[in-house]
Amino acid sequence: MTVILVSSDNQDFKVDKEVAERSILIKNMLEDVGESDSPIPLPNVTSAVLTKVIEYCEHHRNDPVQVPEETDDPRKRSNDIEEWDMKFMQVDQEMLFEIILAANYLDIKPLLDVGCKTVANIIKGKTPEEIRKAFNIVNDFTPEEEAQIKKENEWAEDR
Amino acid sequence: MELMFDVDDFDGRSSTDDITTSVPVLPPNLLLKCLQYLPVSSLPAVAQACRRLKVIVYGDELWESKLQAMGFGFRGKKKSNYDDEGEGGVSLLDGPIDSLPRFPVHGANISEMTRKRISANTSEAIGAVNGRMSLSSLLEEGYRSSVEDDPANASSSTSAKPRFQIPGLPGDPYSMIQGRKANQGAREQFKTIYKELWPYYVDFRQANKDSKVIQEFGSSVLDVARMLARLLAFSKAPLAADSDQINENLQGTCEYFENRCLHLFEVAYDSRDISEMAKFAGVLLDLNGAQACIQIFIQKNGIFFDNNYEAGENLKQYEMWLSQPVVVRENMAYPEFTPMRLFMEFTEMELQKQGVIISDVFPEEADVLYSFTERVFEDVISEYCSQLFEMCSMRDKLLYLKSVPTAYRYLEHLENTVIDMEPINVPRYRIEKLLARVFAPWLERYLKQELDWVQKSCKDQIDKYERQRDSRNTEPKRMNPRNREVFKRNFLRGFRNVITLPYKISSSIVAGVTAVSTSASPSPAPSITTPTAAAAAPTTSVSETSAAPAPAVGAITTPTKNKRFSMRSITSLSGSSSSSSTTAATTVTATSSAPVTPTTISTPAFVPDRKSISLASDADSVRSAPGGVELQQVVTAQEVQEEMNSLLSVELALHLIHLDKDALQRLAAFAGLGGVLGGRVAIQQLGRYKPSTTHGGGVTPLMDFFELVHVADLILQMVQVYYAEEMCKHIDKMDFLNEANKEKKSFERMIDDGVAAGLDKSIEVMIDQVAYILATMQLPTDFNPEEGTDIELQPTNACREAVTCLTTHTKMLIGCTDKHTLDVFFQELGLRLFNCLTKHLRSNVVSSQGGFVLICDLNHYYNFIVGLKQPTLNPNFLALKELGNLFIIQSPSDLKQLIHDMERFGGILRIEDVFEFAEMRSDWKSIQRIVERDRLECCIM
Repeated sequence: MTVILVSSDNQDFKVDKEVAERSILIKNMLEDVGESDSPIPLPNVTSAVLTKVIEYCEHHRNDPVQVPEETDDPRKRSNDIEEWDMKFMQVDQEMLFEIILAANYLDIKPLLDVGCKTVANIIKGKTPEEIRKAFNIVNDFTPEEEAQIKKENEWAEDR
Repeated sequence: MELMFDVDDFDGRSSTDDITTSVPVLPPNLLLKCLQYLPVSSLPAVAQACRRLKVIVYGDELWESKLQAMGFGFRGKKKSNYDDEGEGGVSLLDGPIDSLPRFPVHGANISEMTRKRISANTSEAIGAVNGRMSLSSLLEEGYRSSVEDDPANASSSTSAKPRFQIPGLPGDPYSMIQGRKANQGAREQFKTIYKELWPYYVDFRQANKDSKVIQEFGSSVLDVARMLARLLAFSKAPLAADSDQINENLQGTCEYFENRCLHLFEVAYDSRDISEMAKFAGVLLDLNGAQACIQIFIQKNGIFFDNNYEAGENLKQYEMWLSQPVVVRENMAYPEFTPMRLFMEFTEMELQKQGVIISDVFPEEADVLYSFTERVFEDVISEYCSQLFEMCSMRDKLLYLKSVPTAYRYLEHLENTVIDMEPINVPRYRIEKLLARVFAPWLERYLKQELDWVQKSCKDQIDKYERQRDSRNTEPKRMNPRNREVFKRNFLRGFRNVITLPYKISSSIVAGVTAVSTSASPSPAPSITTPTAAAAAPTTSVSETSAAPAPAVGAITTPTKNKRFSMRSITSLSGSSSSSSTTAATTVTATSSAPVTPTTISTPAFVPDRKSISLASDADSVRSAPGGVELQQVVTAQEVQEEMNSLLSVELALHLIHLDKDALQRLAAFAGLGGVLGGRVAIQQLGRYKPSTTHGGGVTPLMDFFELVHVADLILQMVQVYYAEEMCKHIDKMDFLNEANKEKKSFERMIDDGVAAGLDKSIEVMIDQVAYILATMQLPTDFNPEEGTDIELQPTNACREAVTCLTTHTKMLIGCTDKHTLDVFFQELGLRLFNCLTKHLRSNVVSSQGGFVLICDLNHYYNFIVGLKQPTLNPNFLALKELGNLFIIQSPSDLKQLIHDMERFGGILRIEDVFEFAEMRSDWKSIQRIVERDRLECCIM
């Protein structure tokens, strides 16, 4: 059985139900609506992002469904990403954020986790200036403020 | 492409559109999610990048997640100084603290501020709906939702946590400081812990055994353990870029340390040094919960590999018992599984001993005693028992059936010991669960076997009894009718006494129902000797039933401790055998070949036969019975032997009931465990009586049938008593769906049916008999005497004989079944007798002289019927009596008058019938015409 997903720019995507149901949002929706051929509009997701998301879901279609408790494991590590996922996430930053937003919106927990881990890996080990550069952030601190913050956080630095 | 952090937002200015459009930015909750993956050491740089990020890094939520990863929320319990951290260390080990503290989040200020900002930024909110979201608008969303979701929370600083919050907003310094001070925010708390532990943690970058921890705390093993434990917990949160490597080293050191401690613990165990053991147990407990240590402690106990108790010993005891001659064996108790008792006692002692040690060595929360008990149950006892059961079932089925409940009783006792143990114990519900788990697999099999066994032995009994019956077709004897009632009462009383004795005692009772003396006293009937000798056979078998499972555990717990459970059948010779010998019992010498045809009544034989059933119980146990049952309950009674052999056996029923009771007793032990189990077995039991009851009636001589009815009644009552006393303990009387109740009902119904069918048959037989008597004994001259002979104005012989026959039989029936059945029976009997008589009379010729004799006869019958006290019958026989007048009237016209006088005959006889009787007149030919004519006229009329 297939489901038709409609992106924000009105493109139709025909997807196996099983694949679409990796998204908890869609899964619940389908459960509520029941058997129906009507397409599902996704106004927050562009076709480019949706393509990417569907690719991810296709690849992970047979993964066991995660138990909600497990996914909230507080012992978070950024360095345990699967190889395929790692490659999958090698996209430009705009797409990366779009994917994260879409995963959040569609409620695809594993994809959201992978996205966040990827962001963390970008930040990891960088100096403040490097971080700003990586994400095009404007430094809005005065030098004094910056020094103050640095001092406040000295304890956490790996000396 | 740029990631826009809308910094100006915090200053209350609306964000500039040129920056925020077209760029996807992450909402704060997703940013937070990203930052959670970062090691601690990367966070300072993030905080310095820009204000928005700083807010998140300084926010408590990020640190809260780290504290959670380390296994504790923040409670303000973690003080900076590790010296007073003994408790803290333990709390780390106890696992994550489930409820995270709620810290008030400067709620009032935020909400106030937010409200202002919401109104200021409406345009932005609208922009967000269009799918282009700036970070500021998303933040706005977040605030709004938090406020809207939880307005109560927002207005006051409460315990409920908003969905997410960003504390440390620059515009809100006061509440921030206040919040920290009051509660020590998650970040502060983490900082404290981090500062303290980090040096030790980072030291593990260089993997070596003498790390800083060991160097500094080497003097106290306990301190090292606690420190390591804390570091282990600490390492759960991502701390440094290379934390994996560090953790590995840390892990290695912990393992090394643990092994050392385990070794020392073992050494202490071997040298029985309790204080050393306790020390290292404590250390290991602090380190990682000491599971390995507990395992070692349990496994090193000798009971698991070095006990000398073999399940086979029980069988040896049984073999010894079996090798005894039968006579000796019967007087000895059934083997009591002494080796098993010793084994259980040993286990019990060991458990108690270990309980003391465990309470010294381990703290209570380590739950070592339960682990130990569990192992004992699962390994030692389980193995022993399954071995024992296996052997027993291979050797002897009954032995197996006894072994299981016995083992269970021992285990129950063991269970109670563990529950009551000092100084520590295991709570009842846990050990009960354990016991149930261990025992469940055996129980199922046992129940099945038990059921099979009961069924089989019942079947055997019945078979045996039937064989006996077949082999002996000899003269029946029966209860002395006069004493029957007394016998029944006595018997039932005895039976009830036996059955109602309290469980523990009754199990030791010899319910030996031993029939003993059969005094074949001087008797004119030569054939009696055979049955009496043989009669002992079924009864002796009864005594076997009393092999009740000796409740050895019960023996320990109850005051009946030292009692010998011996089976003693008390033989009582009835001295008064002669007293009843004068009673004549009419014996129908029925041969098996001619039971259907009513044979002649002949040879009234004196059958003085007395058999005593002694329901004897062991003197000791009876004395201790609260009811103070007589020392020796001997019910002596007239016993029916042959009759039983041919039809039903009280003994058989008694035997079956005993068998059942036996089984029920065994099952009673499990009642607590498996609910109503007894019922099921018992039901099957009751059904077993069936084969014997339906023999009733016709095929057997009448007298026998009545005896049968009596016996059936007796059995019914026995079942009732048994049911009331035993079954009701296990089942709900009112529960009509219960199988036992249903079975009982159907059993009763079946007996009733049998009785009814039998009664029906017996009426038939009786009437046949009467007809036969009349046919053979009624001489033609009775009612038509030759002229001139003197007439005796009394009933003819045939009539007298028939009535005697009827009275003897009916009298026997009185009291054996309920009134209603009797009424029906008598009414039916009366009606058929009436038909029979009319038929008989018509075959005779009556002269006017013989008419008087006939009237005498009819009066005699009438009196008999009145004696039955069945008012509905009276009109019939009254009419019959009136018939006599037909024959003494001389004048035909008067006769005609009489025939037409319908009221005289009460509507019972029709004119046609009366005419037929009138035809019996010897002078009918001469008067026929006159009477007939009138009759025709009548018809025309």
